[in-house]
Amino acid sequence: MKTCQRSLVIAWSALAMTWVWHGSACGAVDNLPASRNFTLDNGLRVFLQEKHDLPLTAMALAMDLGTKDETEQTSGYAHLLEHMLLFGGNDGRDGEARLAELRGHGVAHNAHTDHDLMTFEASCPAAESVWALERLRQTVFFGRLGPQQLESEKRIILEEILQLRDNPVSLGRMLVMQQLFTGHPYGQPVFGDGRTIKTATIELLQAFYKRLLNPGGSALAMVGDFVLSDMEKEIRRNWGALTPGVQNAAVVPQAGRLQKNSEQQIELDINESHLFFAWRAPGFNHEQRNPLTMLTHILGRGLNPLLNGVLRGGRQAVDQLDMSYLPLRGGGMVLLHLTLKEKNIRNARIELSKFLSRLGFFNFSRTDFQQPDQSYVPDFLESARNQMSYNSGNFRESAQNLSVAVARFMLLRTAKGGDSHTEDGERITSTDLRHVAGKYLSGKKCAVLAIVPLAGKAK
Amino acid sequence: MKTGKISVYCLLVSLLWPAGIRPDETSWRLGREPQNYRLDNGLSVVWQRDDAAANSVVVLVVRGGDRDDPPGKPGLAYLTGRLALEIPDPKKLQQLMGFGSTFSLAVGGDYALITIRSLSRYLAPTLAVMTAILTQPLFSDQRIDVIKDLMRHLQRMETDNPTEFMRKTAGKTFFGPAAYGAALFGDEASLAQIGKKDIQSFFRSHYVSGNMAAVVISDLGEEIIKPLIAASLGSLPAGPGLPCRPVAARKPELPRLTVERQSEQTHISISVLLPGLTADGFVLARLLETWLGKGIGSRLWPLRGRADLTYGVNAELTPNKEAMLLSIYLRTDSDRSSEAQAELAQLLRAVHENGIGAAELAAAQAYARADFWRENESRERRAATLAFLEGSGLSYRLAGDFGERLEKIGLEEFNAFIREWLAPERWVTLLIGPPDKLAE
Repeated sequence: MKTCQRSLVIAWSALAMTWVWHGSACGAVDNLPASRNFTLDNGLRVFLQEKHDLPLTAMALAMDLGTKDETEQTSGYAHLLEHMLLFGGNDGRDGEARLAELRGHGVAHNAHTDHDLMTFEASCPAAESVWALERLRQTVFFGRLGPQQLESEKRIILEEILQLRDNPVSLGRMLVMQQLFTGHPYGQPVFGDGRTIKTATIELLQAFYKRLLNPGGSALAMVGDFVLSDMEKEIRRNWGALTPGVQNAAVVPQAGRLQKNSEQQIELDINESHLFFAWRAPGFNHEQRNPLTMLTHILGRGLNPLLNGVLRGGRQAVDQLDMSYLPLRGGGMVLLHLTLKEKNIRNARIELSKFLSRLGFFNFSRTDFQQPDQSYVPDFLESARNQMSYNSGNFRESAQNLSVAVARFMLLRTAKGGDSHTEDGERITSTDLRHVAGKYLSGKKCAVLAIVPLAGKAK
Repeated sequence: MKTGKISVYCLLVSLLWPAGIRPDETSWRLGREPQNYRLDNGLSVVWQRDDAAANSVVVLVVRGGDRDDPPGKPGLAYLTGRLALEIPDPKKLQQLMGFGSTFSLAVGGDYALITIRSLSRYLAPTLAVMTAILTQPLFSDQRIDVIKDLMRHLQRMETDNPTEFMRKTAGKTFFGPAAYGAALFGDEASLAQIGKKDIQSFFRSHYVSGNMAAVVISDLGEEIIKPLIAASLGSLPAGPGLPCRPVAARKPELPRLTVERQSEQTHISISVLLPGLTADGFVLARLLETWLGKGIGSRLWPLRGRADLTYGVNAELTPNKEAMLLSIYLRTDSDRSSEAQAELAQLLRAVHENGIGAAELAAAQAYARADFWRENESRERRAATLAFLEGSGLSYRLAGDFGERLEKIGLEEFNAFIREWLAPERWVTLLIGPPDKLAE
């Protein structure tokens, strides 16, 4: 799956899930679809939700296994393992035969690895739900790792890396994250160090994942056209038979404050320049996650983001902008991506810096103004609430989005997280926004990356 | 609206109604059964109720895309669409922002789609603002210059993205610099040529009820939605549907094109023209696209799975009304581009010569049907699909019985389609990569 698209899913999932999860836990909220969550004896956490608008079912299995669990010697192993399981053979069939069989049943499947988690997902016609669920179990827990496939996947991962290096947006996101988290596990590339991948063997790979791949460190979510009680029985019978295990994943240290600014510039054969700014931000379970999500939305998303007026009005320093917030377990990243002409980079940086220095005092809501002035100013807070409410509804319409988001949520959320009043977007105030702006953005150290056209390139 | 105009329009619609897909003939299988009705100004509305979220989506399809750009003025359809959506005063912008409503524009070969998204509780005021903007757009010189600058930026972005550049190059190769080959965002010469009068004229002729249709998907009930739509979209100016500009596909001058770029990988594509867009042809083409290159395990997957040549393979259908276009593509390490070209060509030749077997066809049908449902699960995507079908001269109903039509495709029919349209002499190969790796 494309990196940017996946990052958006991850970012959105945090917010959308608050709503779904609370509904499921309370069990008596009007207009919510029937859902259920439970934990099997072997430790597997399960969430089921009925969705009957189309004859489809989506499922996702998230596992507490990611780049964070690697060492210098096993850099890139989690991503390599994901490839091996997703495309490999099992149950007496080679990889190609297995993929053909899945397509024949209308099953689309994919997987993704990031710093915290590995996620496997599948979507199928409703009639194939039980069959596809069993294939998912076989794929992940009974995959056959062969040396020939290992060599093949190594070469394919190298192609994946080359593809990423040609794409300024994916490359920029990856490099600026490495820059921001230097010295922290989140600064390690998911694709790993080419040398360790080249020398990987089946034995080394098995030693890496053996203690991590177990139901105790996993969460399964299914959303679709099935009956809850039937599906629960099925899951208890088959998935309950998996050998118990406990969560063995590495504990990610919380990324502290960034000590100094960093800058980097690289050249690609492109016509338009890309400028990335990244700031350290609170993690998934931090009470300021939701206010910061809302602030980044106000600044860099939607119909008329606040930064539009700063960077695109007047001198038009910037052609396009986009801001996002990625909350991970041990910290987060706020990312601003600008697309602009190379000659405008300096101007854009000056304007942005000036604006951010004032952000801790900004009036985000009409109620921040005196009565006579209220009708002349846009209400950024109300706008963001409504846009995020729309986006949340839109996100939840896709069973696949929903299943991936819930599975991730079950593993990332800790009991202590999210008890603040800011859990509820409706109750976030202008003061909350000013607070997070001051704490994470205004005058704060950041990582900057510019990707510019090759020097001397004739346009 | 004057009665005469409505009558002429109704006559045109009855003549143009595609054969074989009348509402009562097939069952609908994509959410609830939509309703199709006409407003007093002649605007055709497709309305589907969907209670999955308290959101509403309205897509306006304007039959006027790249093919309608006059000679020498590519980019006019896009420029007009953007200007028609420019918000003329800050008050209206503030209102839309407050509702949390958004809108966007997409221009294709045959049509432009304007998508309006809103929380259902704000749909009425959102549509009131949007129709006010659309009925009285401000085409000032200053605004025109701003959008032209934006289009120059979009041209550069299009060139930087190999897939978008492939689409543009394939269109130009098969259709020349006009019609489906016209540059979506224009070029320096055309942007200099296009003036305010061109924009006004394009807008007056295309943005009228008889040349547009609306698709509305909402959780609001009929008693609320119908008066609301009538009060807002009913104020769009009346006017007849326009005949489309003729399109002539041409034989490409060269079967192989190269574009130099200092990149790690080489982008390799093979494009072919398919027949014009009909309901049956569309379903066949979608099946071919899915079978060849959509998702893990497709027919081209061995290029990844066995040959390790690429991270992924793709097939992409551009469903132009007069001639659909299929592009099959991959990216590979530039050092292996010759090998990848040869392997891709060999695989496609085998597909052309051997066709598909019965078991593989059944599997492709199962996957394509589920994939169509997945693709149209959210109301935004579904509304865009229904609007595309309306804008292309098919009927929105094709979305509802897509699966049924897919199941009816027989082995002989599909193999005949493959033999006719995938013949190697019809291929145009495009390579984008480092100059020293582009040699034959």
